Amino acid sequence: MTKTRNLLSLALLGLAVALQPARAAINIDITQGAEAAIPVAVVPFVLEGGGTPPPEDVAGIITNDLRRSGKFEPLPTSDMLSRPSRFDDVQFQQWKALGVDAMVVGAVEQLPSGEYQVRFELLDTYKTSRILGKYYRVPATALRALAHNIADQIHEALTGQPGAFSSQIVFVQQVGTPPKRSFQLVLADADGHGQQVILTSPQPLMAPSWSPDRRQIAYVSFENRRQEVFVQSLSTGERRVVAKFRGLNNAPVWSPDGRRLALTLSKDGNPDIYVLDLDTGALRAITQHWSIDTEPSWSPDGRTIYFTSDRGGKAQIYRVSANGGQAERVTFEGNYNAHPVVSPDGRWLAMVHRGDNGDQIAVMDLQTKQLRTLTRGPLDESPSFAPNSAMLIYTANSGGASRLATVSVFGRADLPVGLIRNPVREAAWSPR
Amino acid sequence: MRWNNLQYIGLALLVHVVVAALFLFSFSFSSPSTPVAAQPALEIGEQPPVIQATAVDTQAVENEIKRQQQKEAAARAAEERRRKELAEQERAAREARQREEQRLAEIERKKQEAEQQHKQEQERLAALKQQQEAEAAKLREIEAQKLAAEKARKEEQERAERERKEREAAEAKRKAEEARKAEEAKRKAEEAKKAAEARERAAAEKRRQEEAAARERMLAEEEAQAAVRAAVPQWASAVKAAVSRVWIRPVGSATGLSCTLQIRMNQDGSVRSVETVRSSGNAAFDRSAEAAIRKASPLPMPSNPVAAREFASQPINFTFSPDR
Repeated sequence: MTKTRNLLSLALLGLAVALQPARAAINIDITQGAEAAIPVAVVPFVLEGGGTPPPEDVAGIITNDLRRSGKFEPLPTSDMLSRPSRFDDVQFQQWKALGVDAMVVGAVEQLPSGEYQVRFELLDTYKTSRILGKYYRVPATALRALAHNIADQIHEALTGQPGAFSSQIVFVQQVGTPPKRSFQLVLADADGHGQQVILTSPQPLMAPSWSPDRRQIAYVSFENRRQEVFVQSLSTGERRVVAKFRGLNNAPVWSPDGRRLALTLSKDGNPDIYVLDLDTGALRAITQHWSIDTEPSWSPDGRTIYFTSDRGGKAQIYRVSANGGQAERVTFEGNYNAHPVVSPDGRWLAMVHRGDNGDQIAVMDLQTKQLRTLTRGPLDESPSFAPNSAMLIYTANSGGASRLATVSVFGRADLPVGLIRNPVREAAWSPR
Repeated sequence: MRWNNLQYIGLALLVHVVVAALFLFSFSFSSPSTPVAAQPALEIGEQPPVIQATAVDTQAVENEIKRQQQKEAAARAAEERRRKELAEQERAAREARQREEQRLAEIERKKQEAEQQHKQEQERLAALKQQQEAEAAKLREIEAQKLAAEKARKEEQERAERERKEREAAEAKRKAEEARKAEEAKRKAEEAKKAAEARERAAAEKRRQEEAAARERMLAEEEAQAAVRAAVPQWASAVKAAVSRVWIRPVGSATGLSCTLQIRMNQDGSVRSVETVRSSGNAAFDRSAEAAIRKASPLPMPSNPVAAREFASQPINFTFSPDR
């Protein structure tokens, strides 16, 4: 009897314990946080073995790429307390104290063959873990490209978006002064290094545009004393005229499918937007308006063409079906918006926006229609998107000088492109 | 038609017969109605020849007849009287004889009855005597049996008595033994019971203490839980501020990203582990969230050590959703 009761009470006690509500997990919601450049440290790569030091500063290239993206804030080398080259050597406490979220360590070693072996590791400082780690073996001439490639990988690992450091640019530069003046079409890495002149002309060159396959450049040349649109193969240098109509033959832009060019022609009197079929030579008028319609840009799906028109009295951006038809005004903010460029991901529309500080590069969020000015002005022009849609290259004119600069679509890292000494005109950033 | 003729003929015959009969009967009716006992019955064919009578003086004849009749009547009356007397005498004599015969017969019958009764009495007495003898014999036999039975009973009784005494002696001995054994067993049982009770008491006491301790723990737990619950909001907001301060989202990440991380920490607030419970689908975003938590480590802890211990003992979920 007693035993039964005791058993019962024990059972009840057990039940009571079991019935006690499970602990409600504590939940904390974080909704505030800065959208800012990620603090990183790219430790100079150690030279291992006794070979010749590499001709390129791999870590330096990576550092510059990351900084240029506007998404990273590399720690100055002078602030580093140690220079580890591998995970096992890293004293993470140090780097945490320096406030870096991630760090890159690595080494370069010349092999007996003369090639270089490059090793790098991307480390999570707070988690004290490796995010990436790879070995490469490349000739000395490929070290820059490898560095850009590593920077792209780091960019993607830390931001979730691919980097654009392995892409290229073409731009027009003016060499010399009249009467010994010439114009050059230059191909370079996105950071301005590795420049190659692919065309030199005594007459002006304008408006270069990449084919989607990165194999050809379309541009405007005055070499025949009038505007003509050329297409040039990058590998062979072969050129051909695709448009030499009466009047203007300007602003060629490759369609996303690579088969057509949108361009500005004034063969019928005033400038209108046309689409030229590169295979058949067929030409189709997209706008037919008494006003000036120019500077076409394709939407990534190829269905819409954005362009500049003064049909409203002042230059504004409009859009029209790639098959023609009724045009629709897109920009309303400000008195002057021109040179529309749609980002490869279709999210942004970059333009030259005349604001408080002159002509500045601005981007409009095509969904929210919100316009943000990215550059300082006063005479910025010819924006072109990086293939990751995260950066723009543009031409900045100030004090009679013109130079190329890049800026992130969020307005960070407005940095000049190095190694360009000559006055430049339009630049075009390559597709991926 | 013939049938009708026959009917009529039959009917005519019947009428004739009836008429003839009527004649006969009317004749007969007209005959004198004097009693004619002892005379033979008249026959139909002997009718007086009434038809041949001629005219005679009626009165004279009637007188004569009357006188004749009276004479015959007187003679008949005397004869009658005599005959009646004779008959009477004869009847009386017959009756007397009959009565005598009856009386004699009665006497005879009574004599026979008496004899019969006597004989029956004799027989009954004889039977009675025989029965009495049989009964007496039976009684004697019963008596003998009774004696024998009595003797047997006595012998049995004596034997039983002997046996009983023997049994009693054995029983007494056995009982004594049993009693001794029972005493022993009882003593042992008593000891065992006492020991069991002692154990039971000890166990009960232990259980009671355990239950009390368990209740104590439960209460303490509840109190601690209450304290912890009370401490949660303040602590959560401190942690939230600490993490938010150091969270750097990748520039230009897609909008609408959200991830949930589950952390475990030590009592000093240092983060021991971070686990992704729900990814945003964007590794860089997830990493930035984890970096923020680790950067904020050690997380601020409540001054209440119970709460601190409690927070450190359970997983904490962090949901990062900048666009909410």
